[in-house]
Amino acid sequence: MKPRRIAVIDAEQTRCEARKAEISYAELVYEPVHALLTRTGLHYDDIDTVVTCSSDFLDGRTISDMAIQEVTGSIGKSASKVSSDGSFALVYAWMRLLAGEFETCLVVAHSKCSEGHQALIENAAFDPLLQRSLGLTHLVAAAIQAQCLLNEGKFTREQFAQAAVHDLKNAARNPYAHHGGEYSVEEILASEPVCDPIRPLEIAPYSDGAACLLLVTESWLRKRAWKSEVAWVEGLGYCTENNDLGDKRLSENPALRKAAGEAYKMAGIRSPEKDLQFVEISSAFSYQTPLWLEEMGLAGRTSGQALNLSGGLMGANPGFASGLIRVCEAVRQVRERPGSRGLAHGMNGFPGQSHCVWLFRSGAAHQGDA
Amino acid sequence: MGQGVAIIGSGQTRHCSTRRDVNIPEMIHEAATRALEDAGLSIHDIGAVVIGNMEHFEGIHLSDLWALEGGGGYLKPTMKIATGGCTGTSLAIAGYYHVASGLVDSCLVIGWEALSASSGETTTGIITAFDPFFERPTLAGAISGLGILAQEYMSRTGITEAQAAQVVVEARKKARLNPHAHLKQSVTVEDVLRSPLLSYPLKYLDMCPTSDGACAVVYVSNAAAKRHGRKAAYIKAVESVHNHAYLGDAVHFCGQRLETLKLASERAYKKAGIANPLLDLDVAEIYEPCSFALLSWMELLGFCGAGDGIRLVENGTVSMSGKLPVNPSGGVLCTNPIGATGLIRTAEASSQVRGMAGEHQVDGAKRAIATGFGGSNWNEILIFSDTP
Repeated sequence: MKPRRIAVIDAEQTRCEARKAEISYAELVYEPVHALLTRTGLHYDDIDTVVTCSSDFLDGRTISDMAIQEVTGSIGKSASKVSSDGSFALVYAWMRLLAGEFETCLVVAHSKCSEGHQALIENAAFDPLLQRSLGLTHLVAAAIQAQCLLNEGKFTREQFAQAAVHDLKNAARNPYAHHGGEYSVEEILASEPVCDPIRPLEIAPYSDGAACLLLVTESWLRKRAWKSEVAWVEGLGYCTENNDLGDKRLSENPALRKAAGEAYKMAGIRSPEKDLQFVEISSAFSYQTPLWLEEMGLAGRTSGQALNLSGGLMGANPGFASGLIRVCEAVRQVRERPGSRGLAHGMNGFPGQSHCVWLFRSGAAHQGDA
Repeated sequence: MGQGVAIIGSGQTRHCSTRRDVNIPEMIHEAATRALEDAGLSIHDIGAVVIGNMEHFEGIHLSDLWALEGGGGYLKPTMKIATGGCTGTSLAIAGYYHVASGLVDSCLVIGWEALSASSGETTTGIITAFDPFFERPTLAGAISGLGILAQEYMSRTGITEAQAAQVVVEARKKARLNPHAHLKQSVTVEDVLRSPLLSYPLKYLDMCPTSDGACAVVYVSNAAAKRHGRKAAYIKAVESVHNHAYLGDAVHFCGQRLETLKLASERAYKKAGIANPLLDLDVAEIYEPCSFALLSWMELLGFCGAGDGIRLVENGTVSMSGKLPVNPSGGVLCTNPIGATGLIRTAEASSQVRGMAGEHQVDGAKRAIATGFGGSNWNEILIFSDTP
């Protein structure tokens, strides 16, 4: 059975901010959806099905998609909501198109971290019986993992700081990001840790933002005689490991290794360090970058491979939208260089319990393989 | 194009108001192992896991990531689905698309709710679904919304509170034959009418409970079901429609062309080749959060004309020996672990078609319907058949 070829024809993000106080969730999501429809010349009627992604906890709204249904064009249509990261929403969207019932799917993710007290929300993610009272948050869990990496001699503090310097520099040039700048490894290492060994500039900010993209089938592209370059979906892998911090070796991440391996296999990629031109990964804390790269077989990447041109999460980290923004960035980057390949990585859970790896290749809208 | 999908197993916990003996991963483990046993598979045969609940009610953020350990999600592709009251059917539909896509040939779908685990509370959570400026100050969660819809139905059809109460009597009668059901105590119409008023016309006994419980369902491709050699429930149609964010819009749609359950069922029946649901379906598991809802929704599902839902109850059409038994499980009125509830409809309907419903089996059931309902007038449907 030959699976349908599926592509992303366009993607849009909001300019993320620490606090978008003056707009509602509907207005937040309307902006990128409207921009995407305008730019592609499409209408809500062209959207067959919708998959949204948001967190009821982060939004402070149960059934958080209710707040945005009217602006996603899902009224009267088959739709659903994934409550993992936005990169996972794309998985469900892809499945809906592969199943043959729909030709187009709008994928939307949003979060307004400013609406809630993040430390309290994060603490609520830990086992209510045995762990919550320890005061665990994402930062604390991350610090525990970072310390394990240092203790085992896997990476150095300099590498953690360097990863932050790299992303912050790129973020400063990204109009969609709100956090970034030129820093040095020395000044980061000289700063007081917030939660030892993690320094303030090594932590992604909390942000308000949204992103969307339109996924379509090859037959739809042919029927529409679509002209622009698209980003063909080439590979996917997603995987979750166990939850309890004490149950796993924090210096490795088998879930990411498995996810990346499956994506590469599906796409026929043997040397990811050479075969991929653009890589967008999700590091909520800079120490995660060297670990994620290693698990994805990208530790030996050359300068020819662009990493986090967007600045990654360091530039903007709007909760459940962050992974979809990585996809939007990878799609945008490969479309600007026809024939190039990109990787987008999203994650869910602390510290990186669940991962999703996407592979795209840009190409003409209606031909065979590029 | 995609591949055909079938359900070959399901499992549930014994639903009750509070499970003090297990934590959430343990509770899910019960349902998951029962489902795998029913399917004759091991967790290693499962290609992906889809899981969900309403974490906001429970007060546990990223609840799926803790729960998954009990559900066999370790080092598997997993994702969480959460859509409100219809989470269970959204999960069921996601399970369908997982296998229909061809990306995996088998999928374990898990839904649960355990409000007791973290001092959660449903109404506290549901209130936040409504617009904070215009609706939240006046709406009391799901109950008031359902109360308004019930009032609309009463004024349009003349149905009385006593008539609606018969739905509850019938549900409790059926639940006695379901080992998993939460509320099995018999009630009379007088009991219902005398129970405390929550939000007119809904009284305490008109409303579904909140339960701790889990449900798991095993999906495989049609080809795998055939190879497996066990009786399967083949999925003939899935549909999902919602139409509003503001409750005022829901009232506007009542009885109109754009009623989502009407739309969803019309589309699903067309896909499944069902011309007359009362004749072509053998059993229905309908998601009825309150007594009035069952009456009006049987009409929207095309079982009868407007205002005639009560006749189906009074003349025994929907009883266990009737033409179209409705909710042999006792329905949502007897059992409601929110994240699982729609999935329980799926498990029950598919079990009926597979001949595995035990004491509440409808003899010779070949085609079944399962529905799910939630906020924004979100209605979902799955239709099952004993043949691919």
